[in-house]
Amino acid sequence: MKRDTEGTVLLAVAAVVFNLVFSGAFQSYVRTGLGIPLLASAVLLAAVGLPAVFRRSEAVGEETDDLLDHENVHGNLVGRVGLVMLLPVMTVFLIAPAPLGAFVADRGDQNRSVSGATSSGLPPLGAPVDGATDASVREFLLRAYHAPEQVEAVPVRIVGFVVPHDSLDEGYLLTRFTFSCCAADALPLQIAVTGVGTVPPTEQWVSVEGTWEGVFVELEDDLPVPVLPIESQVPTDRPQQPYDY
Amino acid sequence: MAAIFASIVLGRFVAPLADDPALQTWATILVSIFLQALPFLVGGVVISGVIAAFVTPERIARLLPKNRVASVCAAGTAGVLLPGCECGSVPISGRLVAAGAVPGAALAFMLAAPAINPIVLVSTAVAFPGRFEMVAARFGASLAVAVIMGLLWLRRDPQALVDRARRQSQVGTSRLETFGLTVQHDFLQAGGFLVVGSAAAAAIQTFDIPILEGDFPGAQIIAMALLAFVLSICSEADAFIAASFVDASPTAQLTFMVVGPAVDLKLFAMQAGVFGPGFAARFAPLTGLVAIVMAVAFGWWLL
Repeated sequence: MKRDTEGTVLLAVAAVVFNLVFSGAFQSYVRTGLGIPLLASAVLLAAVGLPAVFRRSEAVGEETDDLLDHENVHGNLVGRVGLVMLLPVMTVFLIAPAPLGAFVADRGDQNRSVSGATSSGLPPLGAPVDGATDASVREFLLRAYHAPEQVEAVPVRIVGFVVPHDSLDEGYLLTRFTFSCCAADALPLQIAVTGVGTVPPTEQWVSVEGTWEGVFVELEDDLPVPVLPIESQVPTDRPQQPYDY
Repeated sequence: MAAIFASIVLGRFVAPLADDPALQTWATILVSIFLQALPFLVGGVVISGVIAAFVTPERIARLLPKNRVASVCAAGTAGVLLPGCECGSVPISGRLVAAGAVPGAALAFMLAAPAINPIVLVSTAVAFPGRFEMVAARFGASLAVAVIMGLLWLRRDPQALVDRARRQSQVGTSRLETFGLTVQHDFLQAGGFLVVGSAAAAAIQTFDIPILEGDFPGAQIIAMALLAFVLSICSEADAFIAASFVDASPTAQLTFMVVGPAVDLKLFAMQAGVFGPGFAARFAPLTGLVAIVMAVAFGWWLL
């Protein structure tokens, strides 16, 4: 690969990272806290890539020989593999992949990440606002499995997206993914929501209000999932950070 | 130019497919591994740039013990100092070899750094609350794998590795230029193979390919080792995944954490890039085997 091509690939990677960080879209894939390290990486790649693109057009002679040599020794496979870096760049621009959704949510493994041992006591949830306490899917599930007295008979408001399930006819699984590093290690978190009338379209984000009565339902041979009868459900926009970690 | 035309043509054909949930999922996982690894990869190639520009063979010789066996042990233990994940350590060890380190020592550093650094140990402690023996077993088993592999490679084709690493040297007219050229070269090489490995790992996750559902002694351990190989999860996160396999025995969970940072799809591809496909084909399977044996040994001892 020629040196200016290499520089162009670096600039393309930097550009796509700038784009993802400034639009906030990077949160569809990784933790919010990774934004600053990503930005720093993009600045460094741009700083290395820019001079490579310009130097090439100034001095051609000697460098070309040097590079040809370098490529011959290297073989084409290793010399050109850098172009593969354009695959994630193209993927972001062409497919603009959405955060993980229903396709992987109904594979089972739900709530495995919150049902195991917890390290410490769970702090109480915040004070109620407009008659219900705001909780994330994860906050609710951790308490349902480990400190049920904190959420039983307490009106809660929870945001998640809709994943239908065959055995819930007037309900669905209110879902969010959790991860520890990035979407590649994501596991689904699900609450069985009932009493909804019509089930919203799959992957629609909703904010529901309901009161848990301490009931669990066993879906397939997975873990028991808490059942939340709800009084209201409002469609909402997808949160900036769709993952719940 | 060709790339721009290609992307327009691709856009025509890819765009209609873009709503396909399987393709979306594959793309999401690919991009997420790529973004998660990027800061660590950039950090790693900056260090390799510094090594190429400023570290002379004399300085390496002064840092590492003269005795080759001692130098492997020292380099493995020095892995504690590099707070990062495996994506950064592969290019660094290539540059260490080029700068004159004994290949066995550089390989020990490459295997140890992502597994025993403070960030990884702390995240392991957080993932396994109150089970300090898991952290100790991980540290011990991973360091043992690194040192054993380093010692094995003291005798095997070291000269070929050195030659290959030297051929990739990027020498500029100034130190700053050498630094820039090395960063550019190593980023594209290690990054390219990182993407190849991530794309494969993402496909396996997307299509939920069953790894192994055997029913024989040790089946769980082998299944967890294979899972670590194909998932290619960053070593800073793998403890949380291991812990989430609540049905697996502690030794099987340990195996997942010892195998993953030492050998997985993306590392295999990156090692093939830096040290050559022939090297990777011999090094990776043996590393996997040693990692499983060490995990079982330390699991039996400590867990």
